[in-house]
Amino acid sequence: MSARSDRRWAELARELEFTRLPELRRQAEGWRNGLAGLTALLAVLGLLKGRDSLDDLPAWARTTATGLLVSAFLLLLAGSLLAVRAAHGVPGPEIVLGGQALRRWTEAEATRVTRALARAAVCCGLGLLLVVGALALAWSATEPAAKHLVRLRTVTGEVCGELLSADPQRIVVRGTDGGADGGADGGAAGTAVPQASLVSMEPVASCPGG
Amino acid sequence: MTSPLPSASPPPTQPSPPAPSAPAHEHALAYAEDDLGETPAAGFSQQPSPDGRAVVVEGTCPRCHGHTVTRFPLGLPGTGTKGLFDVLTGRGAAAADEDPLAGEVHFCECGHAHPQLPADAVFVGCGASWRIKP
Repeated sequence: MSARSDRRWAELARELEFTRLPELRRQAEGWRNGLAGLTALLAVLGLLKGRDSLDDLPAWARTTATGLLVSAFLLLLAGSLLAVRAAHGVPGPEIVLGGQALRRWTEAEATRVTRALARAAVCCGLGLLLVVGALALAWSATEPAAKHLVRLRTVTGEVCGELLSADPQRIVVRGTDGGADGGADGGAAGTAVPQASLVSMEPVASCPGG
Repeated sequence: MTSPLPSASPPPTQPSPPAPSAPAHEHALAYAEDDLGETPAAGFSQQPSPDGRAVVVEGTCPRCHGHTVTRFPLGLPGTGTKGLFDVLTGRGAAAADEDPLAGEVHFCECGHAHPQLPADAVFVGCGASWRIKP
């Protein structure tokens, strides 16, 4: 270390005594902005979006997607905090403000900032990957909208399928395979069951062969 | 954050009594930013300031032989990024425990405006700098 450099470090350390309060206020301002951004993000995610988009998933996919989203959220949160910390620092212990002490502190601090930035990038990248994974899972595993399946018991037998219409004369259902379900007039138009022959009707979760 | 003087800060040291034939302060010596290298610790002392917010190093400038007094305040060097992990592992420990007497480069601050002293000089003295032998 040259004598010129030593003198410059000592002069910088001498100046620090007079910039303490502005430095603390600048630091607090940075943290305020960072935390306000995080709070807004959480509010949007938690209050506006909710959990409705996962309701159409089967149980295993819902559990997996929830795990992915929670992990992604934690990683993004950690990444954001690390980035704020790298940008604005945190109040640390005081040091003896001498030129050489300041030089050593600055060298160590540069290493810490570099490390925090790298960790922030890794956390945010992984978080985004997990979000993309959860979205892909949701798209691929979402079940079609639930059909209104019913089972009709008639004097001649049973008919199971999607309820299409009902009126005082008849009830029309369509087989879960989209085709005829035993009725003579089945197919895309469905099977018409006369009300006079109806014994009972009940909703079911699925139909045989459906 | 305020903290008292670091517990591990060096204890006050008493300067060695000046030799009877100690040279007088050379007021006429021109300002020059001379690096004098290492200087014996004899004649230098350090002690906490009365308010406990600084360490004061005193001694005799090896160049102009004036009585130099330097105050090293405790303070925040900037916005640190030490996190919980660093605190737990002890990595990146602050320099609060450092010994300014032995670890710093010292500059003449005899307070006398030597000839050719720059108007913007931070350290008012003869311009000499030195390290103290551990």
